[in-house]
Amino acid sequence: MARITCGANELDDSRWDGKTIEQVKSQLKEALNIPDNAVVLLNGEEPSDPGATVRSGDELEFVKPAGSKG
Amino acid sequence: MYDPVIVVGLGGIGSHLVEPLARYIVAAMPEVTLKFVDGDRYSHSNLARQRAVESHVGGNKAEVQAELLRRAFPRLKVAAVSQFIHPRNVRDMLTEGSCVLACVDNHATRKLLSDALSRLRNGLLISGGNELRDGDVQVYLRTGGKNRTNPLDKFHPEIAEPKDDNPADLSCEELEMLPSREQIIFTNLTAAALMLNAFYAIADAGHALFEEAYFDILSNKVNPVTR
Repeated sequence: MARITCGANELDDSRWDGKTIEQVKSQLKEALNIPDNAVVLLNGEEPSDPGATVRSGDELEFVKPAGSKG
Repeated sequence: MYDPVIVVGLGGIGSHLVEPLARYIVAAMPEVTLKFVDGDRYSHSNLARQRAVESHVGGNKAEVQAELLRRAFPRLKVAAVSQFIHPRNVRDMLTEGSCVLACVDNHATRKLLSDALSRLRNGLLISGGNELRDGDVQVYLRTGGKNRTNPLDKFHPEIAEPKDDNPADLSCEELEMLPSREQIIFTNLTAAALMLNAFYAIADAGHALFEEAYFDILSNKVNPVTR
């Protein structure tokens, strides 16, 4: 089961295991409110292969931009 | 022990953060100097969301908050700097062993502070920011000349190449012309609380427990991230 996060939103679900990052992003774009330009981190690192797949136990983060106001 | 503890920005987040911070410092680390930095003045439009009252309008934000806390905590060592952070003063401001609590409203200043901290052997930068109902707190910790967490701009292109202006580069007229951006006091309070939690965790435990914590006030969710 992979853990997918974007900002405060998170999802633990085995249905994403074996999917590519792009597939996960397009299918969870609305549910997790993923920005188009989000930096992608797979287990804390930017994947070198854009077609990388998500495996059970992976942590996939779509980095949400930092809050701008204060 | 971080000394001084510098709060940059005394607006929506910073004005709420300083009172509990001062209370904690007086009780737990009374030798530490608290320093407030802000070049802005309180206006009527700030009163709905920031910890200020009618009589503070027109006053410099750093000076107003420092004076309030001097009266409340006579033993507190507190100083006010009525300037915005800019490239010419940031190195003098951030000295070895500083802790900076950045409560600013622009990524240009966040980038400036992060770059300045990267030149210190030991220092801590905790940066809070929010949108309408959500936001984040970032922790950049350096010890022994090494990064223990990532700089603020590492995975944040919006900070690495900021599209906004440092307020120090704007005239008074331009500052007044900046568009008013809608915020909610509860979002500011949540950012302030998470920043203080991070300050306490690192001051007490000596290491960062997370690099970034995202929050959403509608769902009451907080998601701490370690990278």
